[in-house]
Amino acid sequence: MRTLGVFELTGCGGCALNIIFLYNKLFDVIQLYKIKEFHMASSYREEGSLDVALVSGSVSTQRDLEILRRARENSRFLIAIGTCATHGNMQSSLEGSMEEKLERIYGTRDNYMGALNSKPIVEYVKVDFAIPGCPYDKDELYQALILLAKGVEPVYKDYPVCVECKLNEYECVLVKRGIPCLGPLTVGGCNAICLRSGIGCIGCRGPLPKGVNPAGEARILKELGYDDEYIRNKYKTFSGGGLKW
Amino acid sequence: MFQSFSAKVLEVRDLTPKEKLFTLRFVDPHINESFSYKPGQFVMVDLRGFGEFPISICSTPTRKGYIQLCVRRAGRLTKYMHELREGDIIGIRGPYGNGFPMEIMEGNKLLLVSGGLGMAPLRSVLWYALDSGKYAEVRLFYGTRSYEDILFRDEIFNLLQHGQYMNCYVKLSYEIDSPYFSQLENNCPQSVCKGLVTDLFEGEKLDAENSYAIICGPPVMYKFVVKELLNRNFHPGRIYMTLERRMRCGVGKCGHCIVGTSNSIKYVCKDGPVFTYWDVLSTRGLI
Amino acid sequence: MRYSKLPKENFEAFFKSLEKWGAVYGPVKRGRIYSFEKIKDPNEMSLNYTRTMIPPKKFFVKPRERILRLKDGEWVEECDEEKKVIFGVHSCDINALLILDKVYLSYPEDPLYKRRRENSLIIGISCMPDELCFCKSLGTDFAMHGFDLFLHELPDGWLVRTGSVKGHEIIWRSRELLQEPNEADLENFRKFEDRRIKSFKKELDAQGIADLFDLAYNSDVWKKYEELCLGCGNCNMVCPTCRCYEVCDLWTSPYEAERVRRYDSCFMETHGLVAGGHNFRATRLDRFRNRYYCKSYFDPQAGFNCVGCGRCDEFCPAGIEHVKVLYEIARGRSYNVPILQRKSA
Repeated sequence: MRTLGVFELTGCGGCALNIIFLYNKLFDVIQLYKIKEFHMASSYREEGSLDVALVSGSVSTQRDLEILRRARENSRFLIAIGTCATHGNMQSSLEGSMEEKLERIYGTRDNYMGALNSKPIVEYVKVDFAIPGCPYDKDELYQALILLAKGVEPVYKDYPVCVECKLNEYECVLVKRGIPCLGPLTVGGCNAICLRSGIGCIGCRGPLPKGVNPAGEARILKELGYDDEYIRNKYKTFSGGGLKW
Repeated sequence: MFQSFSAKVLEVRDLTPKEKLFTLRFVDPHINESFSYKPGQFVMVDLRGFGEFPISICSTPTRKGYIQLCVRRAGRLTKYMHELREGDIIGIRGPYGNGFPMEIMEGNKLLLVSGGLGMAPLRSVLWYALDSGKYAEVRLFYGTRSYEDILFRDEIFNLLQHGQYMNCYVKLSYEIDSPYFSQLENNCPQSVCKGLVTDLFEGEKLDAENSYAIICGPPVMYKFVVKELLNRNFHPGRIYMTLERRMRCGVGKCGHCIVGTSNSIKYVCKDGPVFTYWDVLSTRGLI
Repeated sequence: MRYSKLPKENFEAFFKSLEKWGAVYGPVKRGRIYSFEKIKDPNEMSLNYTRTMIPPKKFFVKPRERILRLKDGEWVEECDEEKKVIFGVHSCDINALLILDKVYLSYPEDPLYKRRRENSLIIGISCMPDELCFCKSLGTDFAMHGFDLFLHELPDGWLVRTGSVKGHEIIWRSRELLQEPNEADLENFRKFEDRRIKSFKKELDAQGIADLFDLAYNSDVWKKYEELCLGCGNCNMVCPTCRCYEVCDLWTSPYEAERVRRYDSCFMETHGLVAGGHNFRATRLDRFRNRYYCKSYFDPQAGFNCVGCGRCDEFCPAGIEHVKVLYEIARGRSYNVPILQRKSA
């Protein structure tokens, strides 16, 4: 029996909830893992080392940082789940210093809560595996947990959303409807869920680590009549500054 | 085409800190009996539920009843494979690929040039040639980084010191010093040198007319070794090399190993993995 | 070849009779794309379609499919046995299936592909080229074989060519719905063919291009396309002759797994990656070039690996045009590429 801990930093909570939403597959997980800590599911908590730690959310406060460090120190394999943890998500796309932000929102530059500039956890600790997505795909987590329980490392998705969009035979909204779609740049694994509803990919899983062409996509979006600012904002929403041209 | 045969791990031996040698026997005695292969062919190792990877067979078909695979701990699957113990069952599909044309080369001298992990498929050729005794001479140039990295160290050292009785001459190059190398260099100064595998050609009189060269090593090595061989009048048709690609099927379907251009396309898995230098000249991108 | 005529008024009855042979699939309009889908009523079909996004190869190698199932530590092979009639296939796609046959039916045969091929009837239909088709240049605008029946549009029905013994059987069983074609029908058939041949807007002079193309291995034009191409793999996914697949194992419970294969694309960064980290096609330029060389590989017996269906042009977000790339590379000159006009939202 392996041990598992789930840790939540700053985020909407959806990524932790997504684990509970594994429904009957959650029973498969608890056949293989003893869950020592999972705040959203239970107030039960057990100290000690973990085989696998799942961390969601971004580091935005001193408390987040402490939880993250504890998770890292106590775990042998740490998985960042969700785009907050892997890329920083929207909260880290805000530019500027902490003082400026405090002044703009609260009218004071004093940082009473010890807030930090939001950053993905990968900036603070070594992460063994990352499952991006806002929220991430449940089955991807399920596969990762089963593989780890059997002693094999999980596999990264190495293809863009376009591949899954085509596998499902969804209409290409970028080509056919001129809807801005970040599918060509974004890591697949979501099964092109937005494209199923005819919505262009918003890039929530972050950019592919290698081989993307943001300049090429920007050129296409400009052809469609979108300006630099629109494209820049679209690129930076989830990518944590990873998409530039 | 998809199905793999169950094989039992008979022995796991550490070759280096990174490489292990797996000795396998098929569970079905009938398959064990009928499984025949040529040096240079490869199999797909099927870790059921986790994935498959291609790997060349490093044992020789002259020794029957088992096959051996030399596996480097490089990725997620090989990491898992390194955890296997005696008695564990894995799947094997194959053998695939063309293998070395051992019959064509009979009666000739063989020059094996290997670097690093390239020793694995060449070990199959080496022992095939020595066991069958049908080759005028076997010469092995083996480039290694350090003492710890030498694959099949006992076999290599044995042949290096006593191989001449079997018409087998081994030369070793290394990059990182070690007291063992110094000692070896004292005993057999002709056979050991510090440098790259291409340095082993220096001062060597090779009988290009009656020799076949066989190369296997990391991708960067091929061009340099071929150059040495061509300089020594080796005929392009007498230079064989075995290549690797990301194979998913092993039988020319999955497309990952396609190489070439509009007038020559090769599938490394079924047209290779053994190619001559002619193939390299006619198919761009092969090496 | 045997020719028959199917009068328009008998079409529905004839179409219904096909259900005896299996589930009937045909081209349907969905949003702004076409797709082969199961047909209940022939009026659902758009028989004057240009091209479906995903070609009919999806019936033989599915976009995503289980190839093995793990049970008690052993793989179990399974295959769906559904009998199918694929209705309304264009010549280019029929020719593309013949190219796939050479790959999947050569030793060792792909068992799933083979069984599905045997369980399927192919009924072709004539078409008019749009601005993207260049099948005529590759000789794939007419299917000589590879179908069971082929329907050629006439003003008052269809001229039916019979291409297989199974096709004869269908014609035999529905003989009361069919007639012998008369001279007027043949004249209409000729007129249609003439009109079709003249309607091509895109042409590829394939003469000698294999060598010209090979010689341009280090052409600067590749660099221009490396900048345009997004590397998204759409061209591969929609190509009727692309057959790269990737395999992965997925667990359905802690004790049961399945081996799944899916279409893969040579534009993926990992396509040429091997253990140890060496990548044989490390840059987008390498990968772009690889696709064009693979598509334009000239097999002396069968011609190109491309059938000129125009799908890669239609579904390329960057508006890269296949024929234009071939010309530019072979001639070693750069042209200013206009982006295909896109409809705004």
